[in-house]
Amino acid sequence: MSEAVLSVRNLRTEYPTHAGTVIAVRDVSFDIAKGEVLGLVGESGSGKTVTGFSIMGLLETPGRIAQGEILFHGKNLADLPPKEMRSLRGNRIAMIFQDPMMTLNPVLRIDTQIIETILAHEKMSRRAAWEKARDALGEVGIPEPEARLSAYPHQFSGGMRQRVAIAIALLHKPELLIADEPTTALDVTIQAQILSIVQRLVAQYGTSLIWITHDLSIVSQIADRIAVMYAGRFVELGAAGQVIATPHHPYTSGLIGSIPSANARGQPLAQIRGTTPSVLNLPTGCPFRTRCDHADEACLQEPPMAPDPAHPSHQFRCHHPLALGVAQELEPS
Amino acid sequence: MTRSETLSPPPAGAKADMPHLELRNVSKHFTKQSDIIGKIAEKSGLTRPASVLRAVDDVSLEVAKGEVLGLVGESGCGKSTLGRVIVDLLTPTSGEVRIKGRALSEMSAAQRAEARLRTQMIFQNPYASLNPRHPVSRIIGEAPRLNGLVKGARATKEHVATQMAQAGLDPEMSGRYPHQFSGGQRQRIGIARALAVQPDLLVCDESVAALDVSIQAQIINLFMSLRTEFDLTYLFISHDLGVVEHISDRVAIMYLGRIVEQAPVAEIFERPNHPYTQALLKEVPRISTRKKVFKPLEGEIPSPLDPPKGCHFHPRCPHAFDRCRAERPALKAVASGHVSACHLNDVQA
Repeated sequence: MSEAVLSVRNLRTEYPTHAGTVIAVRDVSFDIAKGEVLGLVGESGSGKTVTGFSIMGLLETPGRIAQGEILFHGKNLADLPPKEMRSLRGNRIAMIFQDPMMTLNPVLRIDTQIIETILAHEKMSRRAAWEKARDALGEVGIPEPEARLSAYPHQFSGGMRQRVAIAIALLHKPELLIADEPTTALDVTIQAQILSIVQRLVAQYGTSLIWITHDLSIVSQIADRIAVMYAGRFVELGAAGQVIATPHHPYTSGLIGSIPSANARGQPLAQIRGTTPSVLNLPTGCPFRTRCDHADEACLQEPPMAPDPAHPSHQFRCHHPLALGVAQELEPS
Repeated sequence: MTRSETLSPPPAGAKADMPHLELRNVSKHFTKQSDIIGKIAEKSGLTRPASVLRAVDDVSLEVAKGEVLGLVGESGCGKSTLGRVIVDLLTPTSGEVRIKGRALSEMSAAQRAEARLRTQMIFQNPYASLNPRHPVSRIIGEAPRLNGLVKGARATKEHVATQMAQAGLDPEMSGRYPHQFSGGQRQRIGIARALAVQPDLLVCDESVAALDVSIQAQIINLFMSLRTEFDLTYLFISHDLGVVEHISDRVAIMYLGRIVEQAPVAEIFERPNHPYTQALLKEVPRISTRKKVFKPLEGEIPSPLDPPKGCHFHPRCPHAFDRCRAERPALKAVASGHVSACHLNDVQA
């Protein structure tokens, strides 16, 4: 693997609340190489979005990074002065959100918003910035970009707004793009369009991509590596094909079994019992043990992240890993 | 392949007995109500009359007793409106909804109320579809008590406990309020409420869409076990082809108010006929061990206020030709139990 664009080391993000401190992200470590696509998968409350916000420096108070380092080309973003962070954000690191209106201001025209973003990080004439904005809209497949530049966000459909948000995020050809469920609210055919645009532009610009989602199916088709989060922790991390074909953590395996298309038609789904525990009231030891069929006394101690001896890059956090050392290829569907 | 000219699909699996639910040329149109200034402007020819939104446009389908029909479509295709017409929340502009062979419009008030009771709906949003001020015991117990299915406080309490246990909830929690439950548990409350009046047809409108994957699997399993236990008939409305493929016997695909294809589940997934169905199937993300380059269908879903002429799908269709722009294709049989509305079927020999 080439040099990492981003290295996250032992990240811990906390939210002090009246009911106690919520540890939203705990002991998360990973690297992402240039041009790599990392899929970050988890259910509601697993800490996947907070991980993204921690990297972007967008945590809202009282949330804070309590521990760990976020090294972007060796520079620790966790203790970067706000001014320096602002010059990186939207420039070399960018983010797209589930709701494109997080990016867009409803009362400003699209051209105003894009040109503002361009001029914030680059010195050029307004005219040149306008041309760059027009080209950016063209790149994401918006028809008649010249005319659409003078429209307001409400005049766009949901899919078109997400395209504008992507155009803005990619204006400066960032080295790292964090995408937080940008297709969840969209229809299937529109989702495929957005996936295709992001895939193409990220490859073209050599941008590293972190795709945050609850949908293991999407990630299995776009990511090089997959990280699975549960209760704020990484429970599994490895090459996408390996994680899907031979999941070691029972939670990952349960998630795959819960996907209808991974099961025979009409057969009961291999469900995970119980519900996600509240982050304020996690079981001691392994947070998954109360829902796990393999749990025993050993699970009262939280397991560390351990490598698969056969593929050291495939790591898991479990005392009773499944299918360890099994080298198998799932037939492509 | 021989092609008959039948318009309605042959009732699969229904044979001699009549379908449980039958829609005959059902349409539901919405018209914008003009205010007084708008009316004057229209009369004097200053503006055009308010446009008509054809949410459901001439839809015919049948669901046999005990069958699960999956209804798939993207936003704005009219699938929820159709669901609301079936449960009699909306009255169709034209056409007939027939339950067990009798049209709703021809029933007496009492019969119609009975039909409504036997057809229950489970909604998408488990947060908005439960009254936050009522405890679960009342949410589940009110309808069966008011409809005389159970009498007395003790019987109602027992009935509620049975329904909760069936839906996988602890009856001890019947005194709690909706906000004290998680999303998956709330969806179970919605299911228990629907089942409490002993329906025989359930209309599930995106009932698992808002749930996390692991919870979604639990609810799908619950739907499947309730089906065998109570011999339920389902209309399962969803945008999620993976979910629909898993639980349906037959699938109908909707686009801008019209059914464009209908077939048994294996047939539609193995031999999709309509270009829209083919595109949908191709673009559904599926779990795999390989990366895929997405090559999507171009264009957006047109506004239902101003749908394209002819075949609604022609502006996005890679195979469209002149006839598609002018003439609405009819649903025609392409195989046994498989109908599709596409002019290409007349061209290809």
